[in-house]
Amino acid sequence: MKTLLIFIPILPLIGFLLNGIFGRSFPKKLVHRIAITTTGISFLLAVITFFKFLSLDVESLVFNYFTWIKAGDFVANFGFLLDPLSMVMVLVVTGVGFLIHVYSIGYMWNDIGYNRFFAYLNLFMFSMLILVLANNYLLLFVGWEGVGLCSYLLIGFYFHKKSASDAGKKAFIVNRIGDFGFVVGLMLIFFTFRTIDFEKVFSEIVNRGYGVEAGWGVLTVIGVLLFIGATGKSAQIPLYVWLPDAMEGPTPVSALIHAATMVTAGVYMITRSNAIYSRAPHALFIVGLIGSITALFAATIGIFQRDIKRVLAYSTVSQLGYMFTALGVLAFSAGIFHLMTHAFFKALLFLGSGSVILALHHEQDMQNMGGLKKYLPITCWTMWAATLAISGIPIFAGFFSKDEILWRSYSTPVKGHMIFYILGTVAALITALYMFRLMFLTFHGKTRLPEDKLSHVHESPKSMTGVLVVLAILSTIGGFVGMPGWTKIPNIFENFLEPVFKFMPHKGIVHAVEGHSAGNELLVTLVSILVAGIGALIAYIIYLKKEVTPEKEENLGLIYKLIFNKYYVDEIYNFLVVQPIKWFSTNVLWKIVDVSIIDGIVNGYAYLTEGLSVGVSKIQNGFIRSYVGWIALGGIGILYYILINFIK
Amino acid sequence: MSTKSLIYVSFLPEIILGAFALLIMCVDPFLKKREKVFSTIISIFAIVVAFISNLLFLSRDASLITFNGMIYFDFYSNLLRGLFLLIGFLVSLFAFKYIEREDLFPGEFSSLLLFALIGMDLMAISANLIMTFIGLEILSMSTYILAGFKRKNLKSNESALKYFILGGVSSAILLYGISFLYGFTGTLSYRGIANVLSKGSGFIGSPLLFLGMGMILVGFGFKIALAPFHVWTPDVYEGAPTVVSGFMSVGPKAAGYAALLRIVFQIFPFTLPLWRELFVYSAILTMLIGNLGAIIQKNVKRLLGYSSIAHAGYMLLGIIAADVMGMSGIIFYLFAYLFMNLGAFGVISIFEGKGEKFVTIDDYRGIGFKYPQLTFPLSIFLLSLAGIPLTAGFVGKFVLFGAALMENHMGLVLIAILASLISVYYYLKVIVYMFMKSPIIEGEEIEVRYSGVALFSVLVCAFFVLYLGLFPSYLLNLSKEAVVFLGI
Amino acid sequence: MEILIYIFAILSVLFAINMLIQKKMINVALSLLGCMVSIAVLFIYLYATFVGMLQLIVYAGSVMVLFLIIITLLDPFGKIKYTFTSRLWTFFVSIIGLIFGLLLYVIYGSEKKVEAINSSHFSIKALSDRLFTIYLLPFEVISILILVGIIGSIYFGKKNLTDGDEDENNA
Repeated sequence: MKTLLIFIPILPLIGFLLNGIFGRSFPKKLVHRIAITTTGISFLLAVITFFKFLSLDVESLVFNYFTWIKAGDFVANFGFLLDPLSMVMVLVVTGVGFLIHVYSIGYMWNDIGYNRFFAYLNLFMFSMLILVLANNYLLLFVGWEGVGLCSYLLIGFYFHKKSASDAGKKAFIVNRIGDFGFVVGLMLIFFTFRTIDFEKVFSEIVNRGYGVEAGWGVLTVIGVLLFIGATGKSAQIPLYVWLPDAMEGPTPVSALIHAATMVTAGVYMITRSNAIYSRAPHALFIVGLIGSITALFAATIGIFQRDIKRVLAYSTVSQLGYMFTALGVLAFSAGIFHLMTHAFFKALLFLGSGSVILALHHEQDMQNMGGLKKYLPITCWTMWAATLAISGIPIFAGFFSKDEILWRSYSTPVKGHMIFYILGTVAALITALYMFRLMFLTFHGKTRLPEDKLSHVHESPKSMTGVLVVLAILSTIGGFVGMPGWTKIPNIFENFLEPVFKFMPHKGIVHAVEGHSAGNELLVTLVSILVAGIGALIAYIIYLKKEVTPEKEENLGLIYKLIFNKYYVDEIYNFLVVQPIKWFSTNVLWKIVDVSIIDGIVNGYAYLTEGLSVGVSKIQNGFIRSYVGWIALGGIGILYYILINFIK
Repeated sequence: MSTKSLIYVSFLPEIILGAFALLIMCVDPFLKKREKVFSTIISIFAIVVAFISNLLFLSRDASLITFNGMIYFDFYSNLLRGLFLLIGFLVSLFAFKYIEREDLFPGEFSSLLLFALIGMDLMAISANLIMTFIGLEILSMSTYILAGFKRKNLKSNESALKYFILGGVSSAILLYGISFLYGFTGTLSYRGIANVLSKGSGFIGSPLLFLGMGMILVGFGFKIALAPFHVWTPDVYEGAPTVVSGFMSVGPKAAGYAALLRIVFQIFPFTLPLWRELFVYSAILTMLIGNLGAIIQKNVKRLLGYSSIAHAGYMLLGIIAADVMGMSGIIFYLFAYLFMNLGAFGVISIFEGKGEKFVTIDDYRGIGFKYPQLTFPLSIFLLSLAGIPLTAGFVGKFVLFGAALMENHMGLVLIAILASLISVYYYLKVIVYMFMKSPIIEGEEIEVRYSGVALFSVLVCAFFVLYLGLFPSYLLNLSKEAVVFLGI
Repeated sequence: MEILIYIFAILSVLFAINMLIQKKMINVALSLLGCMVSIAVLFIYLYATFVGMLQLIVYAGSVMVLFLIIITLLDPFGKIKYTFTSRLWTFFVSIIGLIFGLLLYVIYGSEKKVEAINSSHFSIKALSDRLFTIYLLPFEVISILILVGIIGSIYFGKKNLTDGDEDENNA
């Protein structure tokens, strides 16, 4: 099992190396065969591991491959932690990853940089698997940085487009802020517990008898710092701005990295750290609040976006907000459950939109779509499955997970849970609204596509539609593993994840929920179904009955403008953060830090012809003297400092 | 082993280097132009032989002082010498074709490089301040000449002149400081001074002693390029021949740290609080200036110049921590830094082409997938410099920061993390330009020509950057073993 | 005799200041000479006869000759004018002032007064004795330093530095 497990991440790495180094000389078929075989086998291995893990009937397994860093008292192993949580993540990552690889063959076939694309994608798989399998925070950080790097590379994949490389840059810089929080949190964990192994840290917390912190204790600080990291990676307020722009990347990338897997890393990380968060109510409150506000905020932006992928991007931000809301009310397994179902239906939505975009020759504006049902039947129906799932219509996967989150935030007695519930429910209404709007504008009603273009529209190749169908099935039935309590059917998913939360101080809270009457739970469920229905109905009336097109929406005036421009957040950030930094670097850095003389010299190759002596005397005029002056000044400063401070 | 032969064994690598340097100078004038490469080959051979002799005569258990109290024969000496010889080896490999391309003189280059190595060795193994100073001067003198090795290039001349004048000033300050110490204690040997100082605590408060210490700090601060003595670095690195810049960014820095560690821990162990406080301020300033300065650079050599300032700052964290973890972190980081920085300079020296024409970031547009055999290693080096996981630079930084953290330097570590996050920006910028920007005029990427030797050395560097990133334990253990001899 | 040490100490400082003020290169060099000689006298007064002599021979003698030759080669008619702006003046004067204050403090604040020196301490015999026993290694290693210096001066100084066979042709 130990060797089996290591091959799950290693195989994509091999694929990356082969395609990255030799890919240019490989024929296209060989490139995707390598990429798909490696990820396919690694998915297979994940499934085998899963069944072995089930048969072993243990809580968790730790495999240490070798001692990675050992310095002083500090030890970090290169090791994997296999427990239900990492098992779920590995299955989702390899499974969805494999499907998206297959889909990419058709989607990327005509692109230059075919090998580059698959190489990056495989590298991403490797990093993501390291992230979820790591048995310590440092190794998790390895994956964390790795997926980030792949993400920037893939966002800027079409680098000849300026918007694409700008988007890559934006993602990169925004994530720096998040990473700062994460690294500082990591250092603080190391500082406090002198170890960074998950299990050791958590058992240390238990052994040292950390209780639930009333104020701002060390666990709360760690929790907040790690959450800052999560806001960067998982696109939460205030660092969400990079994700919508990340849609400049190829659509399979949006599906895999910016919807299904990488952006959920923050959710995974916080769930992994449940021992810390469950003792830090203030940190937890921040997580829940940010999550629920993001869920609503991003959903509203989604209403008026015209770019089909941007709607989905804001929808992703919003859904991630749901997951954080779940974490905020200690419903960790509900968060992971939503993570899984979301991976299915959001990947499907993105891939479906990719299929539309490809059919329309890279047209992404919904103004120029409509009535495509006839031409893209499979895409249309599979996307409907996903839409019903994300809107929380019963039977579909998203219904169960979203309902679970809403029920938990209604019933768990933590600080602010009712706020989370209300925000979440309103967001659910808007989710249904913008998703149905998207479907109606794209596939139904009269087509707004010019005749000549319409004739070229045809369904995507089988490799793509096949993937859509598989994902549609998953989006439909994927929720049955987590049945709500009132059905009296055991929640398989939650029971499976149970061992992950063994370090929590009071499982009591989670189970207290079950004390609530089943009637209440049913009520919450009915409310959320009702809310989704209202959202869908509004969309039906506006976009199908009244045939409002994106252009007509503009008549709404101020509100439309505000929302369409994403509340001007980008502009505000630009004004408050970017411009001051630019000013600082041009006016302060150039002039003070970089005492450059070379600018003068580069222009002055003429000196060469005039003879060396003139050039040299020119140089001597000033700069060396001033350098000596600086050095002398520094030296004197040091000496005086010593004199003042150390001589009595 | 008799004491007499021990004396020579402790100094054997330097003797070998010196002998071969003289041999090169004797042979070189008789070589025809085509055969000049022979000098470089001799120097590589000399370095290999010196390395083997260093390996044969290890002193892993005991710390001996030989040559009338001039030289330490201990594992710290062995390890650092190994580091310097590696630097020399890789620089020679990079210089192999570079010298030919730029039409320079292999004989002079090789012998000066060997002499510089002797100087570096002396700094690390010296047990006496006068020896340390002579080592420093040999190293500096050789690098002054190497910096101006392109005689006809104005920038190279300027670089040499600046380095020479400023280096002279800093050497004078250092010597002045040493003379104060001598006046105060009446001896120059590390152990002797430490003995005198440890006898009476009354000495500690004396201004004379602190003046001496402060001036020594200035002198070494200049060599290592700590703020505020860093001003020369970007100009000198930019102007010097690229291979020499590479050497200057790792060689003198490593030697400076090697000597500084010995001085701080073997002469002044009990004045550590004072040093520490100074180092904390200097480290903050160095890291911020280095990283902020690098952000705005367009010239890759200058960019790496600023980045090398920043790295000197990171390494200071190890001294500030002043425990085994921190010290071994410094030595580990020196190794990591050697491979990543020298590798980066090596690739730059290949990309720039004859006459060092292509050294701005804009020149790197679009070459990413045209020359993957070079751009991939360069990306690895830059990522490692940035401290991205699974590279040597990450492990080094983590150990250094972790050590400082363990000693409760919370604020300092925060700044260090912030600084290294800033640094990711400009390192990645180079990668972005290579892989994600099209050339200004479509299809006009720079033409790159490289030799097998250069490619080989680039790949060696890349291999070690990754190897040390994945399996750093062995080297960390060696470093730990070495720093024990510093008496921490 | 005590008065001599003050006279020459002050002289050396005055010469050094003059060196900074002078505009012509030749005057600068001559001021340097004066400074060196004054310092040599101080050495001799402190029983460091050997070092004093070295100071005279090496600096006042050969180094100065070298300076003068270079000046006549580069600038025979004294065209190059040495500029020194008032801003730089204030900068450097303040730096010098700070250093001076520091030294004063150190000298008068030091608890350990410098002991009277025994003249035999610095005899040439004692010097050579140490030079060839304890300091043998540094003494020998300095030859490398000088060698490097020679290489450097030849490298930068020689007009046509080409390979051996061409050199022979030229000769």
